[in-house]
Formats: sequence, structure tokens, C-alpha cells
Amino acid sequence: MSTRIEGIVDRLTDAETFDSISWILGSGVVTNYAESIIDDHLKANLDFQSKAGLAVTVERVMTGKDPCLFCEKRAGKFSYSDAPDGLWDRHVRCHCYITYDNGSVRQVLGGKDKKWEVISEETIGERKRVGMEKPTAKVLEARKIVGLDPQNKLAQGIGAEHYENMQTMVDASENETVKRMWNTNAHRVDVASTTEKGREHAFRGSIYIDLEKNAKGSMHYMPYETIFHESGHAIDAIYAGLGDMPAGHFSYSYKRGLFRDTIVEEANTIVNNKAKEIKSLFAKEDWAALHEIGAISDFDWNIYENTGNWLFGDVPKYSKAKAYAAVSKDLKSMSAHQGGDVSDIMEGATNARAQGTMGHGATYWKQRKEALPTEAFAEFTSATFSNPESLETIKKWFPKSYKMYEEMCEAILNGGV
Amino acid sequence: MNEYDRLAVEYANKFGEAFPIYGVAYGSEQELLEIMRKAIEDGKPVEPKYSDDTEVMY
Repeated sequence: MSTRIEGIVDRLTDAETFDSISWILGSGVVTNYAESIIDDHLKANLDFQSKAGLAVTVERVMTGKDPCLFCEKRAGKFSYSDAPDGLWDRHVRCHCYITYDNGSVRQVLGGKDKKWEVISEETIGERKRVGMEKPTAKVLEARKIVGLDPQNKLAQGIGAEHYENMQTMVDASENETVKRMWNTNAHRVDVASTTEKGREHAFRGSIYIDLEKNAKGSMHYMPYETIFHESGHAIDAIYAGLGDMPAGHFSYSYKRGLFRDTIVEEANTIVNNKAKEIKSLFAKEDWAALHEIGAISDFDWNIYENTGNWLFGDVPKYSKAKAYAAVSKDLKSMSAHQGGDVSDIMEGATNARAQGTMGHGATYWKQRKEALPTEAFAEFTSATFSNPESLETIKKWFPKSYKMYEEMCEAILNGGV
Repeated sequence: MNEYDRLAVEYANKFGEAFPIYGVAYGSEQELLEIMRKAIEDGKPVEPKYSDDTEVMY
């Protein structure tokens, strides 16, 4: 700390005239210095608490219209003992928030105010219930203070109540990586419209939603699922170019299209496994089992069952189309909440040969070369926070792809692949 | 399974494609179900409408 003071004093005393150096007193150098003092104080405080056995976490949250790469690489939430050294670094005019949480007290350092503000004092017992019960009034108030930061575009666009509801869902997630990715990027999502009537969408970093409808949920979407989905698209677009290709959404360019390839590979494995099962049943001429798994249609089966003969005497034979039909039957056996996301991904990965209860349609997949990885990124994001049933299905059908999605979230937090 | 699920399965079985909900404009839930019922009754699948700008994702 003394070195920083000496540096500023040296600059002031070395100048020939006061006018030639007076700018420094109102500059980012001083701002940066003031914030670094508080950071040092915070770091010492955390050091003490961590050594005292408290479970201390520290989080650096970016602010500003277009946060710089320097801050992006350092943002994130960590347990104090695992926090990277760079988390504390600041550049001139840096206004990142750094917060700490020791399980019973949480404090936020507002970069502009340069002062400490205690925003909640939960008991440890209350804290354990966060995510399972409605947060206390104090927590709600605390989140409103943070959420209504004028730099938080998502909170500004949807309002404190909806933002708080979404944040409660995020807090309840057990996936720390995806949670960190969300917490360091959600504030960058611009809400361009809250009154879209269907066809909710995202364009670059902006989302167009039907706020009231999406918040309530429906027979086919969970509450806030669509907002998480479109925000996932927006974050994916914000990081366009961060992957290994010069353009395109991050999920598309990540490791030169590996996310898309992995999804297609897993979809093909599902279809091929079903094909093996069907071939084995054809070898045994187990017609009832073939009908049961969807390889023989209800129409053909009814004729055979009632007459003992196949329509026009055509005994069913194996074809790949029957494997797709059987996979489709599996997809249609799930509700939209449970299987809607996987239904859509299977449609995209199989050129609409497999279908379930929800989809973008064959034209969409043909028209947009980035659609499959981009939709999967958005659907994995929304399922993680708002649809546990779908998340379970995704992890069952696309385990490798979901793991890669987590890797991409980690890459976003690290500022690149 | 709720009414959406039931109609979505009927729609997929009839047309051999999933109901393209992402590209359909509707206000209320009832309005959406009516769109699905009408398509099934008329035997005409719903044509989803998407922006020509392929940077727009639904």
C-alpha cells in the first residue's frame, strides 16, 4: 500500500508546476487507489475469517456497459481458499464489485461509492434454507439493492420482483459452474421487449420476451424458463468470437464446432442403439415387442392383430426409419416439461427425423447453421435453473454434451478456450 | 400429461413432425391450444414463422 502512496506523491512532487499534474487528483489513478485500499482491507479480513474456520466465499462482479476482457477474466465466485490471485487486481477506473460472504454476513463493495455496506445479516440456519424456502425480507431487500444497480440490464428490464425470483432459482441450483457463469453475465443481458406474444427470441445480446406470461409458466414451459432460455442465447451471442472460429455464437465456434459434433454423435448413438434393439426383435419376429417400442405403427399392428395378415401381405422389414420412429415414441412418452428440450435437440440433430412434443421445425435447422449448438446452449441453461425434470432428461440423453456445456461455461469465466 | 402434451402427441403422430411452438405467435394458453386443435382438425400443419435474419434465435 505504501508503494502506491509513494508513487502518487512522487508524481505530484516531481512536477514542475501544480497545474501540469493537478489532473491526477481527479483521475482514475486515485479512484483505483481508493478501491485498492478497500480491496486490501477486504482481503485481510477474509484471510482472518478463513483461517478462523469460516466458509468464506468471495465474488467479483463486473459492471459497466461493456466490461473489459481484463475484468471478464477475473470475474467469478470462489471459495476464499481457491480464489485466484488475479481476482483482486484492478485497472484504472475499474468499478467491479467485490463481495464476500462468510455464511452469516454478506457485504458488498460498490465500486463507485467506495464504501462498505452491510446488506444482509442472515443466521447460518436461515442461510441453509435459501433455495428451499422463500428468502427472508432482509435478503429480498439486499438483492433489490444489488439487482437494481443501473448497470444491471436484466434487472432493469424485468424489474426487481422478477429478477429476485430468477435469482432465487439460480441460487437453488447445485451446479456451481453454470451458476457462476450466470452470476457474472446475466447483468449484461439487455431486455429489448417484454411484450412479445409468442416467438420470444434473442438478437445478439438482447432478448424479446412476454414477461408476464413467461414468469407464470404454462402447460409446456416452467416459470421463467423462456427468459432463462433467451438469456442463454444472449450470453452465447455476447461471447461470439471467443471460440476457435472468427465468428458465430460461442457455442458454435467452441473448439471448432465440437459442441455440435458431440450433440450429433450422442443423437446418432441413441438412434443406433435403438436400431440394434429393433434388428434383434426382427430376427426373432417379435411383432408385439416391435409394436410396443414404436417400430410398427398402431395402424399396421391393428390390421395384423385382427386378421392375422399384414396389410397387402407386406411383412414388416427393418429400416432405419423404424429406429427413428421408435426414438420418436420415446420422446412422445414424456411431457413437454420433461422432454420438450430433448425433443427439440433430437429434432435438430436428426434433421427432423425424430420428433417429440416440441420443436423448432425442419426449416429452422436448415436455415440456421448455428442453430443446434445455440439452442442446446440455451436449453441447457434454462433447464439448469428452471426445469429440473428436463435437466434430468438432458443428462440422461446427452451426458457428454451437457458436460461440454459446463466446460463452455468455465471457458466463458476464464475469458476463452 | 396435460392438454398441451396430449395435443402435441396427436399433432406429431398426424404430421410426422413436432409442434413448432417456438415459431408460433399466441397470446393466451387457450389461444395456443386452439391453434393446435385447428391444425389437427384441418389436417394442415402449422407453418412456424422466423425472422430471415439468421442471427435471431428463438
